[in-house]
Amino acid sequence: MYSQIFRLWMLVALLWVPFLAFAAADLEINTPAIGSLKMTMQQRHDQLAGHYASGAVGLTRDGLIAMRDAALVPLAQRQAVNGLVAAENQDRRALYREIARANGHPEWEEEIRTTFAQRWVQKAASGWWYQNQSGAWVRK
Amino acid sequence: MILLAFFSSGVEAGQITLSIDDISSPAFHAKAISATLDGPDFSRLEARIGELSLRERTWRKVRLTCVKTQWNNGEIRCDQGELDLGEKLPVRFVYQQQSKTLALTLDFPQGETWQLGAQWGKPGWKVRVEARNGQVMRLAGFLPQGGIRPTAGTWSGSISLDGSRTELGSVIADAVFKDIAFADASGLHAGEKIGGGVRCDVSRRKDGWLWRGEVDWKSGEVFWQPVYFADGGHRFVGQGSLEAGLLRVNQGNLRLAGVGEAQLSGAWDMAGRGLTDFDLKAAGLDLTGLYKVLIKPFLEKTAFAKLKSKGEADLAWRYRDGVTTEFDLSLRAAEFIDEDQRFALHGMNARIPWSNTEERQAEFGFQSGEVLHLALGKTRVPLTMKGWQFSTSDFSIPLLDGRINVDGFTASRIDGVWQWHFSGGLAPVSMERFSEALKLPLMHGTLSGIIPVVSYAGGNLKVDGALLFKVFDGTVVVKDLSLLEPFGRVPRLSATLDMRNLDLDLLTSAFSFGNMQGRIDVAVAGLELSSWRPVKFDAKVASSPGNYPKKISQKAVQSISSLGGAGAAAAIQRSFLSFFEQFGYDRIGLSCVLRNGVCLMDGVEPAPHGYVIVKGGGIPAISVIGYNREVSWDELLERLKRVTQKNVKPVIQ
Repeated sequence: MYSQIFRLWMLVALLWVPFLAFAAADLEINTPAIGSLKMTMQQRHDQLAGHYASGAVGLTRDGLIAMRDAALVPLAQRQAVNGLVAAENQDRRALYREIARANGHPEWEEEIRTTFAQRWVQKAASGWWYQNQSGAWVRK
Repeated sequence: MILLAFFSSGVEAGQITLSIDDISSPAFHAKAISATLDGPDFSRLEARIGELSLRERTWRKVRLTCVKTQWNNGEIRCDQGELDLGEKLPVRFVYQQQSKTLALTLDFPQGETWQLGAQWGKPGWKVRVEARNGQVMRLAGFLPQGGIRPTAGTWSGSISLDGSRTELGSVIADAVFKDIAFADASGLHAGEKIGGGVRCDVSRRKDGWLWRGEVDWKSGEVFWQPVYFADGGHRFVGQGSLEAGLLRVNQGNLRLAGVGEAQLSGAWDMAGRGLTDFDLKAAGLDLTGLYKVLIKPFLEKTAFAKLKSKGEADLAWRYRDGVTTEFDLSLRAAEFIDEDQRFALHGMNARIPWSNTEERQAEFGFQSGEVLHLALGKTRVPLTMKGWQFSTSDFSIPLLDGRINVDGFTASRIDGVWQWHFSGGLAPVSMERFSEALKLPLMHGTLSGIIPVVSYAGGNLKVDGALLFKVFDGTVVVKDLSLLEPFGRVPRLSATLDMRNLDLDLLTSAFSFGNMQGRIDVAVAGLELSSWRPVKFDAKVASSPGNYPKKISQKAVQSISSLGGAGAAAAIQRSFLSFFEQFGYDRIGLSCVLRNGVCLMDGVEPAPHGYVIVKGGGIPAISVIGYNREVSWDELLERLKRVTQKNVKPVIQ
């Protein structure tokens, strides 16, 4: 009986190991690469903010952004906005990879991306669009 | 063609009623049809269709009424009727019983008219639709779901169809469009204010169809992800066939405004394989338009995304069974300038006749160019190609007043991934020209070196062996150099640097650091850069072994002291030592171990509460002692920048 309870506790403890390990990830960690990525993302944000507000661009559930409704962007600007979305996603992917690397755990990249996906939504302004867990677009 | 499922009729006093349960044909389907004639001379007609389906579109409770129907020698005429399709529309029609012809006209507000002419019987049938200012949105319901939908605009012209009892025989269309807008659900394929014309003639042959067509896109903008056409002026004329799900262009001519004209042919598998065969020939294409409209959108994530281009190009391209088998590209007087000023090529000429099976010789060259503000001279590169394997014989690129020699460059693409390698050398480049080009403080001496094997594979660049340069009368050896993702968002570089016997006089005279005489060795082990900024290294600067004059100016003392903080420098400035311009020294040494943005510093030897950076020797002698062991790297850079700025002058008090 005692050994069964012990095994159960061990199992529970083992199940928590990956979460405990990830909980130690420093998401605010700063390296020259992270600093440089954050700076370019900050600069780009000024160009994207209007499109978040209009609903043309939304936050995806995997920590990236996507053209949600291109029809809200004048035809002549759609190519440029597509370019902005592609560049932003390139930076976001690099940011998650760099934070994982800087924490000394490149394998944490996916978890970091998931955490950031939730952060972006929390930080989003009212009226912006984001994807919920089932992938449907929801207005904040 | 027509199946009558149930037919009944009845005649009562002053009224005739006809009802049909079901009519179906390949083109349409109608259910619950009834027609009633009553009134004086049976002049009042009312026809009802419970459900009418035409291709993808269905109407319910369709009703046609005509209060003044004329019956005359087998002709039924209605000059003032009304058709209720959910929207009530004025309608006119004439039906000739003998010839089985129907002419029907729908009049909409604002001069919009649609006319339908139909004739059936033996041997077949004909339908002609004509429109004047017809709203294209009325056609939306006839188009497949999920594709492109017209959202605005009008058309005028005609579409004629004919066929036999069992099948469609031909379609002829001739129409002009005005202010057309269309979009798909995602908005990534859309057009606005499009004006132009379409003519096409499609006719059935034994095993399929033959077509001839002409599209004239005169005005309006289109975004077809990722390509954007700001205006019209484009035209396509072609002919071909459609059989067994394969749409062929046997002969086509495409003219794109601002780009040029191309002859093309090819096959498109409509069952899902997409483009299978394609041939294109174009001469005298304008590189400005070609790059801007068709090439740039596909290079968004590369270093070639922001170019200004000029010149002419000829292109022949052959594509078979989903694979490029040959292309022949020629560039004439081409120019490519990066808007971010990273590189530029002027007067570029190229002839690249590539084949995926045969060995071919290519050649490209340029009159001049620049990379990171370093001027490149006239260069010619002969290239041998065999499929996706490329190699050059030895060539050189003039760089400032020297040249880069490239020996044995080879490149190949395996499973869609590029890899290449080369070796070479740098023939002497004067440091004066080099520093001037890079807007650095004027440096003296020459820069030359040996480039061992440089290889690129899997997105990473690696240098096998040691890069050797001669600068400041000494040598610089770069070892274990590798670059991860050099073209990615976060390039990472790692290397080991070993500099020997650098002449301090030459080095310090380049910067406004204060003069020093002597020689130093610099060793940087485990250097790691991320986004071209240092993350980690173990660096050590020390006097080179040997006998040579060792002098340090007061300004240099102050500069070195300033690196350790303002306190030490001020102390020297106020002491009697400020009377001397130069001092002797025995050894210089400073090390920095960079970790987590902090430089852990040390010197030649320990000193009380610090470390010795300059150990005095001779008369007058001076020792410089550093007290700060940990300095933020950013702060250190800031201090270095301050002391090397030309306008910083020593303060003697």
